[in-house]
Amino acid sequence: MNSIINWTFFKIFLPIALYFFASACVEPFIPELTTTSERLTVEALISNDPGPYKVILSLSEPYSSPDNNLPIETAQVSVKDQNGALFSFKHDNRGVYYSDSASFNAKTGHIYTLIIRWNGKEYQSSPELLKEAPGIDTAYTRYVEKTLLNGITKGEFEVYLSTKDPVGKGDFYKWDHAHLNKTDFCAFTYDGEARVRYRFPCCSPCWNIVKKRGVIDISADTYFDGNTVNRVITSIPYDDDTPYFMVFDQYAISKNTYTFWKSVRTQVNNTGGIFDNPPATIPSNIYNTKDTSELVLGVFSAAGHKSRGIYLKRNTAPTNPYRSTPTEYKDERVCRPCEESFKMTAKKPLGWID
Amino acid sequence: MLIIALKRFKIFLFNPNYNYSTFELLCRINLLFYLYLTTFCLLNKIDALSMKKWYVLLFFKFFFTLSTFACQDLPSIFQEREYLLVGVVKNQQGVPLTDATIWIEELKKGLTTDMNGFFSFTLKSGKYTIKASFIGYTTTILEVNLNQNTTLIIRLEESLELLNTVEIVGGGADKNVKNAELGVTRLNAQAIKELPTLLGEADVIRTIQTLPGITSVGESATGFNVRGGNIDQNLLLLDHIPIFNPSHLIGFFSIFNPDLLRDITFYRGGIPAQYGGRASSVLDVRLRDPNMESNHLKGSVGLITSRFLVEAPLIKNKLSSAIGARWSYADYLFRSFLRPELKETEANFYDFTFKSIYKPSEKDQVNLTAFIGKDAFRIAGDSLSTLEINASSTRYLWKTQGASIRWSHFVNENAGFHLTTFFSDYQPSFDIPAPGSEAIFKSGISQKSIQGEGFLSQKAITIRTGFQLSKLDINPGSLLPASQFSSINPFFTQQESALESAIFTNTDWDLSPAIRLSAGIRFSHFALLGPGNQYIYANEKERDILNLIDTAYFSNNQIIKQYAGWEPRLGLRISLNQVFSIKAGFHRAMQYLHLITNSTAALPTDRWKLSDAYIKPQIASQLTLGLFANLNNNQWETSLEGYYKRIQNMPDYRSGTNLLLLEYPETAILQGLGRSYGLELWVRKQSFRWDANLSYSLSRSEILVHSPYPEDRAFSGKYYPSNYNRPHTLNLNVLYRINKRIRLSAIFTYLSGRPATFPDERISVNNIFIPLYTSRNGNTTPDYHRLDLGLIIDSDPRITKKWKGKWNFSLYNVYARKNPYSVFFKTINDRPVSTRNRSNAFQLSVIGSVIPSISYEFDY
Repeated sequence: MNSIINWTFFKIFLPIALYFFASACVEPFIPELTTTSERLTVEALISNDPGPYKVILSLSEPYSSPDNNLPIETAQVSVKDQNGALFSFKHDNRGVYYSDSASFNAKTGHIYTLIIRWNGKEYQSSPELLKEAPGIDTAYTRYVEKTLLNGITKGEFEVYLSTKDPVGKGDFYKWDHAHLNKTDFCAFTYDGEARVRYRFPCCSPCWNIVKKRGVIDISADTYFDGNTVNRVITSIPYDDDTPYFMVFDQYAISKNTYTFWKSVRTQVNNTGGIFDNPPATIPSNIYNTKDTSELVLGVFSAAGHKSRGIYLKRNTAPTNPYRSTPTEYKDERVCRPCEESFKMTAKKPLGWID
Repeated sequence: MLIIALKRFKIFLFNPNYNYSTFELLCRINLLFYLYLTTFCLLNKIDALSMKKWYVLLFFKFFFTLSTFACQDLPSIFQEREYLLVGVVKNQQGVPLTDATIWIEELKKGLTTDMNGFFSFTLKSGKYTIKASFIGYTTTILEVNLNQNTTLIIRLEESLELLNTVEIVGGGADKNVKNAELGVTRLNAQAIKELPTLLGEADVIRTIQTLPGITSVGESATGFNVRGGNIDQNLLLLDHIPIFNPSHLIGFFSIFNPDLLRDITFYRGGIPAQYGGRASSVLDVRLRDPNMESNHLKGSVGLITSRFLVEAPLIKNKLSSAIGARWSYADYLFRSFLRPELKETEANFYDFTFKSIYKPSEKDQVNLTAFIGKDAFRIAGDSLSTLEINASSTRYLWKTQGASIRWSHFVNENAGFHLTTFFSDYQPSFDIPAPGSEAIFKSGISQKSIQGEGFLSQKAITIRTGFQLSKLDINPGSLLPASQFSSINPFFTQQESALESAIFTNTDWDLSPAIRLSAGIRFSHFALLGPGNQYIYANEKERDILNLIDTAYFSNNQIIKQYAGWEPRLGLRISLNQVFSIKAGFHRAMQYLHLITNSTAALPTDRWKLSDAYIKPQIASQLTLGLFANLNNNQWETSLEGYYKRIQNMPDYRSGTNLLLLEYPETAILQGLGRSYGLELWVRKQSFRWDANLSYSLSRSEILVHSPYPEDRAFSGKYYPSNYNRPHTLNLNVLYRINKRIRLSAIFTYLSGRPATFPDERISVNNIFIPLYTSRNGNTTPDYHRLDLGLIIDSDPRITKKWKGKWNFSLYNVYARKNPYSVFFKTINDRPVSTRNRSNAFQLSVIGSVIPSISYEFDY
């Protein structure tokens, strides 16, 4: 029982206390934290999508450190399949290693193991089976109104994904989603002195990627095995009544990956509260082959992937949309390229209709 | 000492100067058999016995025990001419007073009255000064010239205006140094009501938390921890009915209605043999007898709760009943005053308590007790993430109910028995209104029991013996779809049921005026019954679903696993003089029922689990040594107690497992060793106007678990402090009587910080900051301290109106300290680049300001 209860307590005690002119309060707390050694952290995903695949290696940092986690740039990374074939990864920059897309394309039904050599030690993951992901059948919306803390009511659409879970327990899911919209402007600048914002047109077609950050959306089929599941995946704002384009990613992850993310979600959301489970070290499926007591962090996942882009209707609401006030810009003439990043792409999204 | 004891026992058993009749000889042979069986049980490993053999043994032992009671002639072995002095202590309304102290000045000897107000002495002829006293009543002194068997009826007058004291140790003023009890506290209802309150409601659990040796994980968390024990190690009894969850509003209040309380007895050491089934403490709450002579109306109106009580003698001096009701209206706060999004919030409870007493004859009494309590709360906008169901608002419901019938029969003044049968039931549930996944979670635990207890007092010996037989049934949890469109499949966990039985004997023996021995033994047996599956894991591999190799099925009522054990209880008091005494005690207690909760504080919906092939019973052994002194004519009462306690098979949990609806609980439960030790100091000063109590304890409680799972390396194999390890706790209560009507009271509480785990490092995966914990409970939260004030204005005692009103004002947390409830770390992962994410530590205070409250109590 995790996040709920924390909120339960905030919400039940806060009003009682408030009523009696008291205030239940949350205040910053400055803990005395100890620093310890740096540990290997792995972030690796292999799917049935065509390569290259990415492995990111970094070091852990003291909790209160203001610095970035340091990248590991000197490791040898490879993936072994069930037949013993080795596929090596090359370091690109800042701890990111890529596979060779010409020689390595992962397939569903195959088993993969990650092997890392670093600092004279060898690390290996448990063998991971790449499972076929069930497809996303439909996505639909439902209009709801939510009252914000300042008393203003705003409409939004809850987005449901419908998936048929295969019969037999032991299916684990992870979802990602992004909103994409075509943009005419590829760069923005701000002149602080003149207090003027400038925008630059794109040289080629370009799409904005809008993602909710820090969301860990996972599930196990323990309680809905074999059923068609309608799951609230996100909500979209009712700031316009035009269709809203979204891309949904559905991954069939392994139990190890599921356990890792579930544990991360617990730790990230609510550790330290009185109704939380005691904080625990996050389990990893990677270990030191010589010394299993060494704590290795992160996860190697082999996951089946299905993706779908869908236009969601926003004209079903009973009221008019609220429209946010647009920011004013001064337009520039010079065009800027559409650079691939976490918030922009030049690739036409799957399912996009111009 | 041992030699004296043996000599006395020999004479007691067989006096060579006496001519025994056949019956008397039979009685003695019977007693020998009884002792033999007891020793046999002690020496044999009961685990090796079959169920059948065990019950045959139990039957014989019980038979011999009963026969011992048939032998009512024992006084005749004493050759000197002696007379019986028997009596009953009652209040002005004719209600018998239990635990009133009767003191014989000439012999420097005393005892307390039983639950019917009875007492009896066997004395040589002569003149005696008898002192009868009881908390809240004026002491009465009588002169008795004993030359024949004599019966006394002593009526004590309530000393409302003079002695409305915060009585912490009840009974006689010098009971502290005179009895053999260690770590035992008695409080009457008056004492509980005199303390400053939170939100205007006097509360038993809250009062218990002011005693030495008691800690809790936080303000208004469910339950309390006694000398390093978990909250499930406390046996809470309401008129003999065990209560599984006493809390209302998740721990702000408890189920015990203060208007119907008679007294509470709290054992944290020296638990007598008649109590069992829990390892650490016993909280025995007794309801008072309804008024036998006239109708009565009582009640109280407070800010968020009110209560009402009606008492009516249906047949005067024969049959009387009382019903008390209590309800809260916290909801209106949410509805009328607060933010719109909290309108959905629900926080309600009510409870009913019923007590009836029937006295068909002078020697018989039948008590009926019943209660039901229901709680509901719903918080807008939370979700049940661990169940993998997205929910917008969860509604929690829990219901606790029970009933008992107790028949007491008194053969004569020295012997009698009680037969009790009861059931107790607790049913928590919550619903999940997630669209498309609507579901309801239900669970429950129930206990049905029959118990018998006989007592026999002789010159210097009182023996209590009896049996207990209980059937326990648990539904660990089921999930059911709550609408026809729900994608949830019905999900059930395996039901559990067991038979728990025990027999016990307890003897209080005054070996000499200076030495008192209280010795008891309890045998308990536990059998987990089918139908059910037992999962079998590969040998020498950790219990994990991956290593599951087989399943053994057990049919209905087949024994899946049984445990048994003996639980010795010992108490010894040696008076050095009239002022000082030394006491020593030992107890061992077994617990077959566990509350499985993997959070710092328990939730109402947490799971109960019976011992099985993998989950072994918890066994607590505690050794206590105490020094007691009453100084300056009993004005100062002091005690210093030290204890060492060991708890075997203390549950802990495998990291990162979700316990709710877990099909294979043995794959998540670890068992380790708990140990705690400490010193408890207690001082009390009483005078005409002042009454002050100070308690301080210095303690430590730790847990050691060896876990085979690699993810538990943070705590496996080394002692770590338990969640409720608070090394220093201090409580100071002061009551000051301004005049006959007005009293002022104050409580100061200090607790050192609670252990918590802070992260050491952080990692970054998928641009998410993840805190990393490499130890357990290695840090502490800031200290807790608080001052509460109370003011009570009684109606004028000189005006003899029938309507009596009383105002109660309280200030909780007077200097508005923001006491830490918890410290937590929150990572805000809303930035695309991980370094720009922030992870911060916060401290949550539940009550961050002063809380005034007011209530009006009436009595008609």
